Amino acid sequence: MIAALICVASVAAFVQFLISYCHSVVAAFGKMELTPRVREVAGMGDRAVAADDFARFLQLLHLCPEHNADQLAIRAVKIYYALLRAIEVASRALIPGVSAWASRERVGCSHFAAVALERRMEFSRDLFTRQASIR
Amino acid sequence: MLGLFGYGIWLAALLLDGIFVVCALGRREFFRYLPLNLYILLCGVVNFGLFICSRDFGVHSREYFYSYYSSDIVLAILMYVVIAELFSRVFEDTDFSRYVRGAAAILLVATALFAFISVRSSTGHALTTQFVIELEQDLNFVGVVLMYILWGAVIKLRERRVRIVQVVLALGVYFSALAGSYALRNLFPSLAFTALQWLPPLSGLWLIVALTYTFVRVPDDARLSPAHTLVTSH
Repeated sequence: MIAALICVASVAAFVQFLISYCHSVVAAFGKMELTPRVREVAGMGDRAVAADDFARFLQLLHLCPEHNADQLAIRAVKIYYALLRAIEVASRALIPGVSAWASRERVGCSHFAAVALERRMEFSRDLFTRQASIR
Repeated sequence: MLGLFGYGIWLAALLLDGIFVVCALGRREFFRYLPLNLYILLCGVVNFGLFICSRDFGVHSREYFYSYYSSDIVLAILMYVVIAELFSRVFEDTDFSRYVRGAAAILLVATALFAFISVRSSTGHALTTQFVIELEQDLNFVGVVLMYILWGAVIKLRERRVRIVQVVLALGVYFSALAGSYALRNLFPSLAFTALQWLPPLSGLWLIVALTYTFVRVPDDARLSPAHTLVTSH
Protein backbone atom coordinates (compact mmCIF):
# COMPACT_ATOMS: atom_id res chain seq x y z
CA MET A 1 0.00 0.00 0.00
CA ILE A 2 2.78 2.43 1.00
CA ALA A 3 4.80 1.46 -2.10
CA ALA A 4 1.76 2.09 -4.33
CA LEU A 5 1.23 5.53 -2.78
CA ILE A 6 4.92 6.39 -3.15
CA CYS A 7 4.79 5.24 -6.78
CA VAL A 8 1.78 7.43 -7.66
CA ALA A 9 3.14 10.45 -5.76
CA SER A 10 6.57 10.03 -7.38
CA VAL A 11 5.15 9.91 -10.91
CA ALA A 12 3.12 13.08 -10.24
CA ALA A 13 6.18 14.80 -8.74
CA PHE A 14 8.35 13.66 -11.66
CA VAL A 15 6.05 15.26 -14.24
CA GLN A 16 5.80 18.48 -12.25
CA PHE A 17 9.55 18.80 -11.60
CA LEU A 18 10.40 17.96 -15.22
CA ILE A 19 8.00 20.59 -16.61
CA SER A 20 9.32 23.18 -14.12
CA TYR A 21 12.91 22.32 -15.03
CA CYS A 22 12.25 22.71 -18.76
CA HIS A 23 10.42 25.95 -18.03
CA SER A 24 13.44 27.28 -16.10
CA VAL A 25 15.78 26.40 -19.02
CA VAL A 26 13.48 28.12 -21.55
CA ALA A 27 12.86 31.10 -19.22
CA ALA A 28 16.61 31.74 -19.07
CA PHE A 29 16.40 32.96 -22.67
CA GLY A 30 13.13 34.89 -22.31
CA LYS A 31 14.49 38.37 -21.74
CA MET A 32 16.96 38.37 -24.62
CA GLU A 33 15.75 40.65 -27.39
CA LEU A 34 15.94 39.37 -30.96
CA THR A 35 18.11 41.35 -33.34
CA PRO A 36 16.74 42.69 -36.67
CA ARG A 37 19.06 40.23 -38.46
CA VAL A 38 17.32 37.16 -36.96
CA ARG A 39 13.91 38.69 -37.62
CA GLU A 40 14.91 39.26 -41.22
CA VAL A 41 16.31 35.73 -41.69
CA ALA A 42 13.16 34.20 -40.19
CA GLY A 43 10.91 36.52 -42.20
CA MET A 44 9.15 37.75 -39.07
CA GLY A 45 9.06 41.47 -39.74
CA ASP A 46 8.02 43.39 -36.62
CA ARG A 47 5.61 40.85 -35.21
CA ALA A 48 6.23 39.01 -31.93
CA VAL A 49 7.51 35.42 -31.82
CA ALA A 50 4.61 32.94 -32.14
CA ALA A 51 4.24 29.42 -30.75
CA ASP A 52 4.26 27.87 -34.24
CA ASP A 53 7.52 29.59 -35.24
CA PHE A 54 9.50 26.89 -33.43
CA ALA A 55 9.70 24.52 -36.43
CA ARG A 56 10.94 27.30 -38.75
CA PHE A 57 13.64 28.37 -36.29
CA LEU A 58 14.74 24.76 -35.97
CA GLN A 59 14.99 24.40 -39.77
CA LEU A 60 17.14 27.53 -39.90
CA LEU A 61 19.25 26.25 -36.99
CA HIS A 62 20.06 23.11 -38.98
CA LEU A 63 21.40 25.28 -41.82
CA CYS A 64 24.06 26.79 -39.53
CA PRO A 65 27.25 24.93 -38.55
CA GLU A 66 26.68 22.95 -35.36
CA HIS A 67 27.82 24.45 -32.11
CA ASN A 68 28.33 21.75 -29.48
CA ALA A 69 27.57 24.06 -26.58
CA ASP A 70 23.85 24.40 -27.37
CA GLN A 71 23.08 20.94 -28.81
CA LEU A 72 21.92 19.43 -25.52
CA ALA A 73 19.65 22.32 -24.58
CA ILE A 74 18.09 22.39 -28.07
CA ARG A 75 17.32 18.67 -27.91
CA ALA A 76 15.79 19.04 -24.45
CA VAL A 77 13.63 21.96 -25.56
CA LYS A 78 12.53 20.02 -28.67
CA ILE A 79 11.22 17.24 -26.41
CA TYR A 80 9.60 19.80 -24.11
CA TYR A 81 7.94 21.51 -27.10
CA ALA A 82 6.51 18.19 -28.35
CA LEU A 83 5.20 17.44 -24.85
CA LEU A 84 3.58 20.89 -24.64
CA ARG A 85 1.97 20.45 -28.03
CA ALA A 86 0.47 17.13 -26.93
CA ILE A 87 -0.80 18.73 -23.69
CA GLU A 88 -2.27 21.67 -25.60
CA VAL A 89 -4.17 19.46 -28.05
CA ALA A 90 -5.35 17.02 -25.37
CA SER A 91 -6.58 19.70 -22.97
CA ARG A 92 -8.11 22.15 -25.49
CA ALA A 93 -11.67 20.91 -25.09
CA LEU A 94 -11.55 19.77 -21.45
CA ILE A 95 -9.28 22.26 -19.62
CA PRO A 96 -8.84 25.45 -21.68
CA GLY A 97 -6.66 27.03 -18.96
CA VAL A 98 -4.03 24.29 -19.29
CA SER A 99 -4.20 24.56 -23.07
CA ALA A 100 -3.57 28.32 -22.88
CA TRP A 101 -0.62 27.75 -20.51
CA ALA A 102 0.91 25.17 -22.89
CA SER A 103 0.51 27.63 -25.76
CA ARG A 104 2.34 30.37 -23.77
CA GLU A 105 5.11 27.92 -22.94
CA ARG A 106 5.44 27.05 -26.64
CA VAL A 107 6.01 30.75 -27.35
CA GLY A 108 8.87 30.58 -24.83
CA CYS A 109 10.30 27.55 -26.70
CA SER A 110 10.13 29.47 -30.00
CA HIS A 111 11.92 32.40 -28.40
CA PHE A 112 14.56 30.00 -27.09
CA ALA A 113 15.07 28.60 -30.63
CA ALA A 114 15.32 32.14 -32.03
CA VAL A 115 18.02 33.06 -29.50
CA ALA A 116 19.85 29.81 -30.28
CA LEU A 117 19.66 30.68 -34.00
CA GLU A 118 21.09 34.12 -33.28
CA ARG A 119 23.98 32.60 -31.34
CA ARG A 120 24.72 30.12 -34.12
CA MET A 121 24.67 32.89 -36.72
CA GLU A 122 27.10 34.85 -34.57
CA PHE A 123 29.27 31.74 -34.20
CA SER A 124 29.23 31.16 -37.99
CA ARG A 125 30.15 34.80 -38.62
CA ASP A 126 33.11 34.56 -36.20
CA LEU A 127 34.21 31.33 -37.83
CA PHE A 128 34.05 32.91 -41.29
CA THR A 129 35.98 36.00 -40.12
CA ARG A 130 38.69 33.85 -38.56
CA GLN A 131 39.06 31.71 -41.69
CA ALA A 132 39.17 34.81 -43.88
CA SER A 133 41.94 36.31 -41.74
CA ILE A 134 43.98 33.07 -41.95
CA ARG A 135 43.83 33.17 -45.78
CA MET B 1 28.39 -8.18 -18.19
CA LEU B 2 26.61 -4.85 -18.50
CA GLY B 3 25.94 -4.90 -22.26
CA LEU B 4 26.39 -2.07 -24.73
CA PHE B 5 23.64 0.13 -23.27
CA GLY B 6 24.91 -0.37 -19.73
CA TYR B 7 28.48 0.47 -20.69
CA GLY B 8 27.23 3.52 -22.63
CA ILE B 9 25.45 4.89 -19.55
CA TRP B 10 28.41 4.06 -17.34
CA LEU B 11 30.94 5.73 -19.65
CA ALA B 12 28.79 8.85 -20.22
CA ALA B 13 28.22 9.26 -16.47
CA LEU B 14 31.92 8.77 -15.69
CA LEU B 15 32.98 11.31 -18.35
CA LEU B 16 30.45 13.89 -17.17
CA ASP B 17 31.49 13.36 -13.52
CA GLY B 18 35.04 14.14 -14.58
CA ILE B 19 34.03 17.17 -16.69
CA PHE B 20 31.92 18.56 -13.85
CA VAL B 21 34.73 18.35 -11.28
CA VAL B 22 37.42 19.64 -13.68
CA CYS B 23 35.19 22.60 -14.66
CA ALA B 24 34.51 23.35 -10.98
CA LEU B 25 38.26 23.33 -10.27
CA GLY B 26 39.00 25.40 -13.39
CA ARG B 27 36.43 28.03 -12.44
CA ARG B 28 37.56 28.01 -8.78
CA GLU B 29 34.07 26.94 -7.72
CA PHE B 30 35.01 23.61 -6.15
CA PHE B 31 34.98 24.88 -2.58
CA ARG B 32 32.04 27.23 -3.14
CA TYR B 33 29.84 24.20 -3.85
CA LEU B 34 31.91 21.72 -1.82
CA PRO B 35 29.24 19.11 -0.86
CA LEU B 36 27.94 18.92 -4.44
CA ASN B 37 31.43 18.62 -5.91
CA LEU B 38 32.40 15.97 -3.36
CA TYR B 39 29.21 14.09 -4.20
CA ILE B 40 29.97 14.15 -7.94
CA LEU B 41 33.60 13.16 -7.28
CA LEU B 42 32.46 10.23 -5.14
CA CYS B 43 29.93 9.25 -7.84
CA GLY B 44 32.81 9.02 -10.31
CA VAL B 45 34.89 6.90 -7.91
CA VAL B 46 31.90 4.63 -7.19
CA ASN B 47 31.13 4.27 -10.92
CA PHE B 48 34.71 3.25 -11.59
CA GLY B 49 34.74 0.83 -8.64
CA LEU B 50 31.48 -0.76 -9.76
CA PHE B 51 32.87 -1.24 -13.25
CA ILE B 52 35.89 -3.11 -11.82
CA CYS B 53 33.54 -5.15 -9.61
CA SER B 54 31.23 -6.03 -12.53
CA ARG B 55 34.21 -7.02 -14.65
CA ASP B 56 35.72 -9.25 -11.95
CA PHE B 57 32.59 -10.79 -10.44
CA GLY B 58 29.71 -10.09 -12.89
CA VAL B 59 26.63 -7.92 -12.33
CA HIS B 60 24.56 -10.74 -10.86
CA SER B 61 27.14 -11.66 -8.22
CA ARG B 62 26.74 -11.21 -4.49
CA GLU B 63 29.87 -8.99 -4.45
CA TYR B 64 28.37 -6.62 -7.02
CA PHE B 65 25.05 -6.55 -5.16
CA TYR B 66 26.72 -5.52 -1.87
CA SER B 67 29.06 -3.02 -3.58
CA TYR B 68 26.19 -1.45 -5.56
CA TYR B 69 23.74 -0.99 -2.71
CA SER B 70 26.24 -0.12 0.03
CA SER B 71 27.86 2.55 -2.19
CA ASP B 72 24.42 3.78 -3.24
CA ILE B 73 23.33 4.23 0.37
CA VAL B 74 26.58 6.09 1.18
CA LEU B 75 25.91 8.34 -1.84
CA ALA B 76 22.31 8.84 -0.70
CA ILE B 77 23.55 9.98 2.72
CA LEU B 78 26.05 12.37 1.10
CA MET B 79 23.18 13.63 -1.07
CA TYR B 80 21.35 14.58 2.15
CA VAL B 81 24.33 16.79 3.00
CA VAL B 82 24.03 18.39 -0.47
CA ILE B 83 20.31 18.98 0.16
CA ALA B 84 21.02 20.41 3.62
CA GLU B 85 23.48 22.84 2.01
CA LEU B 86 20.85 23.81 -0.59
CA PHE B 87 18.39 24.47 2.23
CA SER B 88 21.05 26.62 3.95
CA ARG B 89 21.52 28.64 0.76
CA VAL B 90 17.81 29.15 0.18
CA PHE B 91 17.12 30.00 3.83
CA GLU B 92 20.38 31.94 4.43
CA ASP B 93 18.56 35.22 5.02
CA THR B 94 16.04 33.73 7.45
CA ASP B 95 16.23 32.45 11.04
CA PHE B 96 15.53 28.92 9.85
CA SER B 97 19.03 28.34 8.40
CA ARG B 98 20.65 27.26 11.72
CA TYR B 99 18.18 24.38 12.18
CA VAL B 100 18.54 22.96 8.67
CA ARG B 101 21.45 20.52 9.18
CA GLY B 102 20.05 19.11 12.43
CA ALA B 103 16.63 18.62 10.86
CA ALA B 104 18.14 16.83 7.83
CA ALA B 105 20.15 14.46 10.10
CA ILE B 106 17.07 13.61 12.19
CA LEU B 107 15.04 12.99 9.04
CA LEU B 108 17.69 10.67 7.59
CA VAL B 109 17.94 8.56 10.78
CA ALA B 110 14.15 8.44 11.11
CA THR B 111 13.74 7.25 7.50
CA ALA B 112 16.38 4.51 7.88
CA LEU B 113 14.71 3.34 11.11
CA PHE B 114 11.28 3.35 9.45
CA ALA B 115 12.55 1.22 6.57
CA PHE B 116 14.32 -1.19 8.93
CA ILE B 117 11.25 -1.62 11.17
CA SER B 118 8.94 -2.14 8.19
CA VAL B 119 11.22 -4.87 6.80
CA ARG B 120 11.63 -6.51 10.24
CA SER B 121 7.88 -6.66 10.67
CA SER B 122 7.44 -8.50 7.34
CA THR B 123 7.97 -12.26 7.28
CA GLY B 124 9.26 -12.48 3.70
CA HIS B 125 12.56 -14.08 2.74
CA ALA B 126 15.47 -12.47 0.87
CA LEU B 127 15.57 -9.90 3.65
CA THR B 128 18.66 -8.09 2.44
CA THR B 129 17.35 -7.45 -1.07
CA GLN B 130 13.99 -6.33 0.24
CA PHE B 131 15.61 -4.14 2.87
CA VAL B 132 17.82 -2.26 0.42
CA ILE B 133 15.00 -1.82 -2.11
CA GLU B 134 12.72 -0.48 0.62
CA LEU B 135 15.45 1.70 2.10
CA GLU B 136 16.23 3.13 -1.35
CA GLN B 137 12.53 3.72 -2.01
CA ASP B 138 12.07 5.51 1.33
CA LEU B 139 15.31 7.51 1.17
CA ASN B 140 14.49 8.69 -2.33
CA PHE B 141 10.90 9.50 -1.46
CA VAL B 142 12.11 11.58 1.49
CA GLY B 143 14.30 13.28 -1.11
CA VAL B 144 11.19 14.01 -3.20
CA VAL B 145 9.42 15.47 -0.14
CA LEU B 146 12.49 17.58 0.73
CA MET B 147 12.69 18.84 -2.85
CA TYR B 148 9.02 19.76 -2.75
CA ILE B 149 9.59 21.72 0.47
CA LEU B 150 12.63 23.38 -1.07
CA TRP B 151 10.76 24.17 -4.30
CA GLY B 152 7.95 25.68 -2.23
CA ALA B 153 10.53 27.77 -0.34
CA VAL B 154 12.16 28.85 -3.62
CA ILE B 155 8.79 30.15 -4.85
CA LYS B 156 7.73 31.65 -1.49
CA LEU B 157 11.08 33.38 -0.84
CA ARG B 158 11.29 34.47 -4.49
CA GLU B 159 14.65 32.80 -4.99
CA ARG B 160 16.17 34.29 -8.14
CA ARG B 161 19.50 32.48 -8.48
CA VAL B 162 19.15 30.39 -11.65
CA ARG B 163 21.68 27.79 -10.52
CA ILE B 164 19.86 27.15 -7.24
CA VAL B 165 16.48 26.91 -9.00
CA GLN B 166 17.77 24.52 -11.67
CA VAL B 167 19.67 22.34 -9.18
CA VAL B 168 16.54 22.01 -6.98
CA LEU B 169 14.40 21.03 -9.99
CA ALA B 170 16.99 18.63 -11.42
CA LEU B 171 17.23 16.92 -8.01
CA GLY B 172 13.43 16.79 -7.86
CA VAL B 173 13.32 14.95 -11.20
CA TYR B 174 16.12 12.63 -10.04
CA PHE B 175 14.56 11.70 -6.71
CA SER B 176 11.05 11.24 -8.08
CA ALA B 177 12.31 8.96 -10.89
CA LEU B 178 14.32 6.91 -8.40
CA ALA B 179 11.57 6.70 -5.77
CA GLY B 180 9.06 5.70 -8.45
CA SER B 181 11.30 3.00 -9.91
CA TYR B 182 12.14 1.48 -6.51
CA ALA B 183 8.46 1.61 -5.51
CA LEU B 184 7.60 -0.30 -8.71
CA ARG B 185 10.30 -2.86 -7.94
CA ASN B 186 8.93 -3.15 -4.42
CA LEU B 187 5.41 -3.68 -5.79
CA PHE B 188 6.43 -6.03 -8.60
CA PRO B 189 9.69 -7.85 -7.70
CA SER B 190 9.44 -9.87 -10.94
CA LEU B 191 10.11 -6.65 -12.90
CA ALA B 192 13.53 -6.20 -11.27
CA PHE B 193 15.46 -7.37 -14.33
CA THR B 194 13.31 -5.74 -17.02
CA ALA B 195 13.61 -2.19 -18.36
CA LEU B 196 13.09 -1.06 -14.77
CA GLN B 197 16.70 -1.97 -13.91
CA TRP B 198 17.89 0.87 -16.17
CA LEU B 199 15.89 3.59 -14.43
CA PRO B 200 18.34 4.19 -11.51
CA PRO B 201 21.43 4.52 -13.79
CA LEU B 202 19.42 6.66 -16.24
CA SER B 203 18.30 8.88 -13.35
CA GLY B 204 21.93 9.23 -12.29
CA LEU B 205 22.87 10.14 -15.86
CA TRP B 206 20.05 12.71 -16.01
CA LEU B 207 21.32 14.32 -12.79
CA ILE B 208 24.90 14.69 -13.95
CA VAL B 209 23.79 15.96 -17.40
CA ALA B 210 21.47 18.56 -15.82
CA LEU B 211 24.06 19.63 -13.23
CA THR B 212 26.82 19.90 -15.85
CA TYR B 213 24.53 22.00 -18.05
CA THR B 214 23.65 24.29 -15.15
CA PHE B 215 27.17 24.80 -13.85
CA VAL B 216 28.87 25.04 -17.25
CA ARG B 217 26.27 27.11 -19.12
CA VAL B 218 24.62 29.24 -16.42
CA PRO B 219 26.80 31.96 -14.85
CA ASP B 220 26.91 32.06 -11.06
CA ASP B 221 25.33 35.52 -11.02
CA ALA B 222 22.44 34.76 -13.41
CA ARG B 223 19.13 35.74 -11.86
CA LEU B 224 15.50 34.95 -12.65
CA SER B 225 12.87 37.65 -12.57
CA PRO B 226 10.37 37.49 -9.69
CA ALA B 227 7.87 35.98 -12.12
CA HIS B 228 10.38 33.19 -12.95
CA THR B 229 10.03 33.94 -16.61
CA LEU B 230 12.97 36.22 -17.31
CA VAL B 231 16.67 36.11 -16.62
CA THR B 232 19.53 38.54 -16.69
CA SER B 233 23.19 37.80 -16.61
CA HIS B 234 25.42 40.57 -15.26
